[in-house]
Amino acid sequence: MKTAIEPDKMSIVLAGQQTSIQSAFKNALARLKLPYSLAVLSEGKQLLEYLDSEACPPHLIFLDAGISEPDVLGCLRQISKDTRLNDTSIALYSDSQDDDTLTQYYLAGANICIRTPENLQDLEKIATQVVHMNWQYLTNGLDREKFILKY
Amino acid sequence: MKVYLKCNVEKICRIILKEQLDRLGLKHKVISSGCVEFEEVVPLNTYEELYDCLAKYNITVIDNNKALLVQKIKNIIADILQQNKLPLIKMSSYLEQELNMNYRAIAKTFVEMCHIPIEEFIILSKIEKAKSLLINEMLSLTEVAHRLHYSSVAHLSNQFKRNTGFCPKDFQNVIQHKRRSITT
Repeated sequence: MKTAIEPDKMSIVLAGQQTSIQSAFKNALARLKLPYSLAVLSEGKQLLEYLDSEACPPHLIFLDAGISEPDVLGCLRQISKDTRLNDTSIALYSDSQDDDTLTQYYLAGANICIRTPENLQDLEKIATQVVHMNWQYLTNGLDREKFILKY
Repeated sequence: MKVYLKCNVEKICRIILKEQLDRLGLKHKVISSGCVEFEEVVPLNTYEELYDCLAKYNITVIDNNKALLVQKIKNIIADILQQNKLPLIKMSSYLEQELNMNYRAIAKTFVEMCHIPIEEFIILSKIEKAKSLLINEMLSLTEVAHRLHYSSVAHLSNQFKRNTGFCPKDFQNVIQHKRRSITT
């Protein structure tokens, strides 16, 4: 027996406005061997409405820390209030973050914080690692309370 | 008021399994973690009922050969970490011995099904165990390194950082900060 129901595919949401960054994520996902679905959104309000409307919550959200209406902390707080999203992992990406800001993000419910590298190929590698790590958490029943990563 | 618990998942699964199998009147023997032997053939409708009952507890009955092999590999790794006993031979040889299969075939199936090489899965499992020992059992890094058979504290610390992006101390601080913010 195993103690985690394996999903058929990973459902992923990409929320942010920087098109070059979004392209990097899409390139990384296109090379994945594991099946996935992808929704792309640009603003915080769109993201929250999408999450509210979906019958099956996504497994992973890549969220731009510079998102607006509401801002990233507003989004994180709304998401953490929704118990349907308890098993949804949130990966924030940003150009620059100091340690205090990162701690605020983790406290508000982020699982992964990514300092966006200058080289977008490095971002593609990070995105692939995040997806694979999240897959391990989904399929092995690992302790989500301790699921925090930093890139 | 929030209280933090430590659960022995393995034991909980065995208790649930025994309760459900007894409820269905199925004579059985638990061979090892994740394996049950039935004394008689299980009728299909009972098997389906068992499947549904266990699914409510997020326990899956594996009936696919590749998935079965992968689960056996994961069970072997989990047993090693649970019992804090590293095999005296290389892990690849140990898996070959336990599964009676060529390691190349084992490794190929594992990466195909899990999207991660066995070696990386083992490191991930060790780091997860380290997290639990640091946070739930409040062991020191030295004690954790010893318990998980790392050659040194530095080795554990470096592997922890490579795997999580955090040094163990910063990781502890963030998790403890998170716990405090939930309780206030």
